[in-house]
Amino acid sequence: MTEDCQQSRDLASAYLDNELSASESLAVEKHLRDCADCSRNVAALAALSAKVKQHARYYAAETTLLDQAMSATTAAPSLQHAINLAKRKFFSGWVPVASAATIALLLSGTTIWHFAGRNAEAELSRAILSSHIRSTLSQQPFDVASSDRHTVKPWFHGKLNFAPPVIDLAEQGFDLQGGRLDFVDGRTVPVIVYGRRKHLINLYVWPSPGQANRAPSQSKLNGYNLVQWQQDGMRLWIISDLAAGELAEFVLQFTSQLAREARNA
Amino acid sequence: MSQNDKGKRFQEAVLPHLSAAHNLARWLVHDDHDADDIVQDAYLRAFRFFDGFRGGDCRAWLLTIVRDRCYSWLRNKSLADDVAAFDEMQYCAAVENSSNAAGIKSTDPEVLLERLDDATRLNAAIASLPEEFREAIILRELQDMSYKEIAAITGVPMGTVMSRIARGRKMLLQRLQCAEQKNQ
Repeated sequence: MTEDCQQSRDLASAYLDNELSASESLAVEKHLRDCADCSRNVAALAALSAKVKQHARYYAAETTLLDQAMSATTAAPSLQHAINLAKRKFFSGWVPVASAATIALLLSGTTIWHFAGRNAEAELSRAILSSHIRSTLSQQPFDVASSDRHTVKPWFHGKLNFAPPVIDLAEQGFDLQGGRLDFVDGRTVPVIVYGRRKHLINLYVWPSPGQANRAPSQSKLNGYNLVQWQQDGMRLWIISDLAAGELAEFVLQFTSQLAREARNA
Repeated sequence: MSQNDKGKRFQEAVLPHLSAAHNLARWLVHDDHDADDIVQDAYLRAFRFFDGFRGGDCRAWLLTIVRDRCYSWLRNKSLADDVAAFDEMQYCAAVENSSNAAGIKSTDPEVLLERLDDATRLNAAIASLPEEFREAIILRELQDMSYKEIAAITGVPMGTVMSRIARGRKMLLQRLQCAEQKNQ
């Protein structure tokens, strides 16, 4: 093996990774043209690199980890955590003396008890938030992509035991993008996906028969706006990073359109 | 900056790299559960330090934290010295172990290796690399990072990254050949 060979072997890997300067690259190329041994060596390295890229296991994060990572970054859930902790301790008969959770509880008693009363709702908000963020992280936030409600609506047939409302709001400036099925709060929930400019709006809906209609109420979690309401035996939630005012506009348009369709049906 | 704004900015910047973080941690500590714990811990820290993050390459910034957590975890478990120099016998034993894990029941090593598919053999070979070579190969091949980014994450000069990747690949080739030769 010549000195050139030695040098070419040393640089072969970086050469394949395009990490050499132009002059180094040229020198390696020139040597490879003349030396069959070194060419074979580079080819073997290239094949190995391709093989690793293709076959080495990529350990993607599971959604439970996403939920955990998210809760690490929200003020509300850590408060929620403190409440859960405090409640567990009360119920198990343990008398809390100086735990941080208890102090927090005593300091801001009323707000927190109010919050705790809405425990289930807060948990649902969190589930919807993580579903929303998952969808914004995925390449495609829907299983069926269509701006045509007559494509999206039938797609849900046979996948659910009810027909979710799919409403065309293009004229109002909210483009239907598609639909998907998601798993929220222990059930399969249809999600209807709308967009406005670059903002994604996810609409979750499931039947809740026998419940009185409830006016939309807005909340904010981690900078995302959520609106939930009850209409005609259905529970509806929407979430988006769209400004609260625009989201309220969406709800207004959606609910009135839904009511109109129910009348005509 | 309010907590909410911070949370939102953090999620936009850092959450998309969750899989990259988990992948690196999993390859460094060899265990799903520990990797989850480490990533969670790293995210808590990243969130705490996020005010000090002045833009730039967020993925590299996060992976630096993840890597740091991995090594301090390994130190605590005093496994850091576990993978020393390459030992052929040790490697081939590792291949047998992974074939056992794959549910292949046989005592004949040649049968074992034959039944191990390419991917399993390759993954066992990567897993058996000393960690400084393993992390360089994972960051390069699976995260598609430049030598400069890898240098920033691992805290060594670019020349060192270059030689680690070159040596890491050479070791991988040797290990795969070792498996193939036994196979023949």
